[in-house]
Amino acid sequence: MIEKRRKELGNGIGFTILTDPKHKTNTISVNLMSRHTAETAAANAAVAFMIEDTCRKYPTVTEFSKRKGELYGAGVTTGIVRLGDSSVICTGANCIADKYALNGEDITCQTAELLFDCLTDPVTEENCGEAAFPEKQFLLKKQELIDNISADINEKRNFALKNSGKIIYRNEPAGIPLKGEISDAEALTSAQVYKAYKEILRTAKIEIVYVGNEISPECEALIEKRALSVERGDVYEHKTAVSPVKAEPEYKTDRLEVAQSKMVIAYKTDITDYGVSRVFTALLGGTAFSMLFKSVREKLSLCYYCSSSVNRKKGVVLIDSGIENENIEAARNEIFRQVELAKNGEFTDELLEKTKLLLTCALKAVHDSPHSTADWYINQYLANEVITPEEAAEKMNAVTREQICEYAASLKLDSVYVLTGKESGND
Amino acid sequence: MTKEIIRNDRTGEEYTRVLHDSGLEILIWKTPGHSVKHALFGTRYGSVNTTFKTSDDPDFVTVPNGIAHYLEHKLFENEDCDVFDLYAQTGASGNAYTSFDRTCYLFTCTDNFIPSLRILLDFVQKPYFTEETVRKEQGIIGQEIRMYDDNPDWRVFFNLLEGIYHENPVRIDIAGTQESIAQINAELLYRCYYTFYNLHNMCLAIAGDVDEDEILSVCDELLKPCENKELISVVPEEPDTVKDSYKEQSFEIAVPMFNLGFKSKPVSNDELARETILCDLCEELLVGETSPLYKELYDSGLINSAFYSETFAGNGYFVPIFGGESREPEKVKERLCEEIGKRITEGFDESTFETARKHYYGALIKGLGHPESLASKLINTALTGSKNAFETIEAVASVTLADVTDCLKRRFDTENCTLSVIRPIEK
Repeated sequence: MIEKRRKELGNGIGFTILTDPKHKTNTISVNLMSRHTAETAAANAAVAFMIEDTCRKYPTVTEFSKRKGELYGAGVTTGIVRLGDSSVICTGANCIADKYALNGEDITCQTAELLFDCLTDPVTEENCGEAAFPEKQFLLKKQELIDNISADINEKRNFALKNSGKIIYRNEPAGIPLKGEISDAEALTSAQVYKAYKEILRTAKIEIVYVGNEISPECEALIEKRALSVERGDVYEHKTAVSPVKAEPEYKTDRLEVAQSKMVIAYKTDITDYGVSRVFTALLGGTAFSMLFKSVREKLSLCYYCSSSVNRKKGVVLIDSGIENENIEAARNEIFRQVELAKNGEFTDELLEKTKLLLTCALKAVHDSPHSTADWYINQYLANEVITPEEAAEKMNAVTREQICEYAASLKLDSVYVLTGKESGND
Repeated sequence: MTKEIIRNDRTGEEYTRVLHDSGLEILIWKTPGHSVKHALFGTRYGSVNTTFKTSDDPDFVTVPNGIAHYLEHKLFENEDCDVFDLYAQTGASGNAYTSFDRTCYLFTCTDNFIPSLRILLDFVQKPYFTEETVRKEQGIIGQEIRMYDDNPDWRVFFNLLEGIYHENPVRIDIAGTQESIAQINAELLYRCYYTFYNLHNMCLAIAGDVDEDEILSVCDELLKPCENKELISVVPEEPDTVKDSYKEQSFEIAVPMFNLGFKSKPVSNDELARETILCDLCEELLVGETSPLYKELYDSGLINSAFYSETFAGNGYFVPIFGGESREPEKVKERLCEEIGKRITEGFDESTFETARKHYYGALIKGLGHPESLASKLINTALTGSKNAFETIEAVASVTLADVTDCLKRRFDTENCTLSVIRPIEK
């Protein structure tokens, strides 16, 4: 049985604990949300790289990894993700529950300690009279960040989504690349990144989520103590604005040496209702029995994937597909046609009900793993919009055909982005 | 029907193994308290099984590459409806995958488990192919092949296999090629279906909070008993040495990527789990994050955190692989080969070995945490011919440093390896 507790630790730090004896692992996640700006994007991303695999106590990757090994392969991860117009540095640790330790060790407490060591006690050195990350380590991590940004081109589907994002969210925080531009990363200095790190610790909204088999009073006290030891200032207030639709749809084509073209079509709406936006997106192209899957893929064989997703708070519905170069126009026309059919209510009640059933069944699985449980509550608390999976299911079940049509009718075409081959004649 | 409980004292876990009268092996792992139920219905039929015979055939037959994967796609289409539509009525999420040595059909659900299981057992035993529907699929699968053609991770791996193997079909893309799939017709699909989808060659694996008796009762009703046709699938004779020691391709990427693989003798199913563990531990000790070599390569910027190792092994193939991004892949290879030579002579440190073993054990315990990973573990156990899903945990507990050093000598022949490199396109 799940037990959930929530504490406001003060200074913009929330701590949520969910325990369930069925779990065999424990997960601790500390998330720091900040304003996403062009000036800070690369430095904030660099912070995530700097604190991922060393700390003052274990100052080299070798020592740090050895420590994780001693803790039965505890995982310590750091990443950066986007949430509306904000960015979030997500640090997390997971380990097997203490009862599985071969020699009765208190693995969880020690793992939590290691996570907070990374986050709050990194290796530093003095650089021109200022505190900074060690130069040698910084230069390696900076190169890694540059390589990481450069590697966005490796996966063409995500690359197309990244490029289309710059068009869809032009002049908005959401349009700024998550890890900044390569030129921003190249210009970073160690002192600058250390300053960004201190600023994030001081001002970020912090959400801590613990999910696991159980939590000992010692472990809970340790997490609180370590969180409260951070020096804090004015805490960032997260806001996400609906993305304005363009006066005229924008069409853009980029060319690369690719075998298959990618197309991203963006629509915008000012409806941000949770249930309607989720059900509509799944009905249009979020399942293997959705309108787009059935028509564009199964009936017309135009692509391997053609799916829709929603950035709800931004009011953006995306349809992305991987298509043969010569089929771009046919696929685009069919996608437009399917959206029109949705507007006109030309879908069956059965499809609507089946979509709702799939979505609500999936919500019942949220509490099955520490990872999915943690993800759910982190996002909810960060966005200041807390609903349980059960409440989310209720919202979806309440969605009517009329609401779906109204949502579809509110969609305005914003942009069409195509990534295609150099030989293709499409423009 | 015979039934036994397979229990592991070390973890306190157990599951049920049933040999059904139909010839099917059924494995059930009950996980009280979980909402998710996961089921896989799999056959020992993957992309490498292109030459085979049964007791009905006078001689071996060879079929086009990619046919196992093609068959997987087509089995989703019933005579009167699409399988995804049936799952949609139960709220289950259905899918399938084909790998080198197996094809598995699966679903995940929270409600309506038994109706979903009925759908799974029914459609997998009910093939329906016509020339028209088979032809239609060529467009979709062609798009899938094109999509992977644009994936540098996929290409660097298959280029490696093309370099290592002369004849083994593992060197061919699982989906085949545009040319090979053009040769597939309904008759060939039926031939392959009736050869490999014999229940004696299959397994049903289920994990979740389920009722065993209910499951077996549905199996009694729906499984169609079949005669064991003594299937023999052969791979062509393969020379011991690699085909090419170097493979290179240019791609739209930023940083060169590489895979370094060591051609190694395949092992029987009985030895597969233990040999894989030994090899994984060798890789970890050679160049895992705690090793001196990792530190040297990382600190000198020759590798970054994208570096990884894996043991690629199955029926008829065995290759330890190191991969990642590097501006100088040849230097990485050189240093790895030097380190292998040194460790063969000097051995590894006992305490490092113990840490690596703990790490490995922790990862296996983490895998016991969720119905999806448990059901996957069960099907993996059965399809590789193992009788006990806990044998990997027990093997990790029993391997010694001497076993690992011996494995290093046997499986990492620095004179018999292939380096596959993907370089950025020169602008």
